[in-house]
Amino acid sequence: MFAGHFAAGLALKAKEPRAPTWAMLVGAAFLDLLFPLFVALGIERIHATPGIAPGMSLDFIDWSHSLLMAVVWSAVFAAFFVRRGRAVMLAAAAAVFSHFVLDWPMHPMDLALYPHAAAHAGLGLWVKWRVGWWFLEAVVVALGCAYYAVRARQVGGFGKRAWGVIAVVVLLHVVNSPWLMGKS
Amino acid sequence: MSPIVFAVVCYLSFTLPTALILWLDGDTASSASAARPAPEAKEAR
Repeated sequence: MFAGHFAAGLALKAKEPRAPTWAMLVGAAFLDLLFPLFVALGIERIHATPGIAPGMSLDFIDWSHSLLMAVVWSAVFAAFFVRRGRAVMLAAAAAVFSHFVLDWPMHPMDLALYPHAAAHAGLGLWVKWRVGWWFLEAVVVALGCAYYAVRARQVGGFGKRAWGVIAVVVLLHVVNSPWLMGKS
Repeated sequence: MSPIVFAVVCYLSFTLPTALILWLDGDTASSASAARPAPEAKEAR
């Protein structure tokens, strides 16, 4: 999932407007921001799989993406916002953990329960639904963006150009489609 | 693709759209301290 994480971050911003937008977006993508660093450091491993979403096999991503580490990273990230109050901390933690929740239907059994665990989770829709996964993520994008736009109008203080924000997220999802990425 | 190039591509694919979204979003709701009433108070009024 790619654009879906942006949509989740925007929805959490809309839910808790006192949380900074940047924090919700960084939080929602936090596990994916750790992952390339860990790959570069040799802690995690991938290999290319052209034609199959997401274009790589995630051979070992336990330190960034396992269930236990998602909880740990959620707590670590939330701790940075301790001075902003409990509600913002909870939103920050939810942003990070939303990544695991949204990845779970897409990933093909490569989400470990904890680092080096034998048990892995993931419905594997990237593999089972070579095109259908894109429509499921489109639903996540639509719901997240719609909530963001409605709340921006109701609450104010963010979403000044909400339609522009939505256009960026939709464009990301279109660019990440099976047709343009040659994944079908 | 080397791991370093992969990391750079990953970070650019996040940073560029995020920067654009933040500019378009124009968040000011989060800039005040926790002492400020929640934005929901505006709705109540």
